[in-house]
Amino acid sequence: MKNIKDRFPIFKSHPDLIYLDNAATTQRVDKVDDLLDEFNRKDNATIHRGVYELSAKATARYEQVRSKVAGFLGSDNPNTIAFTKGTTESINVVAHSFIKKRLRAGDNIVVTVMEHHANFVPWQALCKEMGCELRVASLTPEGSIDTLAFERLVDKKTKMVAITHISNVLGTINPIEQLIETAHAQGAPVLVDAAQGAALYDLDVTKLNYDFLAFSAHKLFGPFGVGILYVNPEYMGDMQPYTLGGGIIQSVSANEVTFQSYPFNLDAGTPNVSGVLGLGAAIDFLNELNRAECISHTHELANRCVVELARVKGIRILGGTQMQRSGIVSFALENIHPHDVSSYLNGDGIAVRAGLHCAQPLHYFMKEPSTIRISFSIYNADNEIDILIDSIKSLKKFWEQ
Amino acid sequence: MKKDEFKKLYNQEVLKRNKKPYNFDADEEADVVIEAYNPLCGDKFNLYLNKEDSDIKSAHFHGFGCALSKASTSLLMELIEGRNKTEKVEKCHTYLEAEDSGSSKRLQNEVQKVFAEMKNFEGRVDCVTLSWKALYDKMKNDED
Ligand SMILES: Cc1ncc(COP(=O)(O)O)c(C=O)c1O
Repeated sequence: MKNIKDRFPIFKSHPDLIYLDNAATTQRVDKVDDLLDEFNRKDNATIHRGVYELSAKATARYEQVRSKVAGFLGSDNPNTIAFTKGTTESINVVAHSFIKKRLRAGDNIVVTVMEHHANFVPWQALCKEMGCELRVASLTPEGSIDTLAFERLVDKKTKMVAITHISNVLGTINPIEQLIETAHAQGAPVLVDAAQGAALYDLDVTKLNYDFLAFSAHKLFGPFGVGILYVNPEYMGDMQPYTLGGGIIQSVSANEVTFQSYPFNLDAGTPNVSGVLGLGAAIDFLNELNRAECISHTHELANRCVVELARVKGIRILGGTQMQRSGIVSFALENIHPHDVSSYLNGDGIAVRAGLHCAQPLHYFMKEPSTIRISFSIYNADNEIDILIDSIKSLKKFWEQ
Repeated sequence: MKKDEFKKLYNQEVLKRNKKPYNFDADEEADVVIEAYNPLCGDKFNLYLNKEDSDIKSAHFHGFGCALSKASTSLLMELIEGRNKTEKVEKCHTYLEAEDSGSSKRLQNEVQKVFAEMKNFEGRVDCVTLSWKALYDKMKNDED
């Protein structure tokens, strides 16, 4: 992973920054910045509107990104991909534009207790509205999904299973292939929240067979404000418009309107053209990487971090040593509140996240009122763990004085 | 926040109260229970007040929060015990005003002045006003 850090301009502005909040957002790679800069200066135009050259060119590039994203997920059909504002919006689109009209009172939706609020609250609200049951799959004490309990939750009344690929707090990598099989055996479509995994892990649809996949460009070294939604061709015809307005219309008269079909019925309003092109550049960067090597790098960092943290007295690490862990480690320190910890670490140039990480059900389940989260990416290095551990130790000394 | 600033913010008054907060226990029998909650960070304290006529006979608190919110809630409990309602409202008001304006001139209590200084630390004012705001809002609403 040598020299990869040089590709990230933020570290030129902050050479001493130890950025360990990659689960919240990753830093932007030079390629993305360069592309955005060039587009803004030389190529700016919106899409599907003008026949003039700039607009035609922007349209072609925008549609190329659709193909690129489809290819990235192993699909040869670019029209499986819709662009949204982020993972959150992608999930809300599925909740409202797909599943809502299929729900009848007495049906159920299955999620897990480790979901980010983005993949929990939309289903909870929908179930309340439609008189359906939200079934929440529990975890083992280790922090893995209890697959047997999960199997018992899914039945013929299950209209949707929504699961995260990787927990944004525990770092657990879920056996989604197995969970998808369980759901499909009962005829339930599956949405995978891939926000945490899409950058480095292989999410090939031909192997995993998910029905919906949601992720965000800003967690793949790309720009803010762009999300991706993959929809299985089998369900594309059922996708209704989400926001109404221009850009999605087939024809409209005083009394009638007909819409374009998915994915073009989700692009209401002027889309985030530069953001989508930036996403394209981010995917080019991911395709350049040896992703297997990146995964072992982040796993090694997280595993070593767990070992070193466990040596600090009064620390509680969320999740066990047996579970499959990505580059994420969350913990709590006896007698020192997470916010006080992150404020102190900040003094040593270390950026970590403190709080509930948009995962309150998980924190209740784990009986932790709040935690500190460390999340590694490809540009982090071993010596940063040493600095982190030293800083935690010196905080403890200061606190106990 | 640099290290020396951190140490200024987490001064003796804060650390002392964080370690040994005043009346830190859940008084389930209390006449009034007020919840002070910040959904952004998850800090949550219950304030337990016992009244005698319009005086606060005892003020206890319990819950979970950072050192700043815990210490400032502890200080609040110290200051309102034995006070009547008008004094209490006035106390909260001047304190919140001081946090708002960053000027501690009108505060008489030295420790309170220390807390008012925290106004200058970006992003942490909510911690030191959490319980004060909750109490103030509750008392104001009761008047209406
Ligand atoms: C697992 C998971 N799901 C969903 C989200 C929401 O992503 P976004 O805020 O980009 O919509 C996040 C990011 O915080 C996440 O980690």
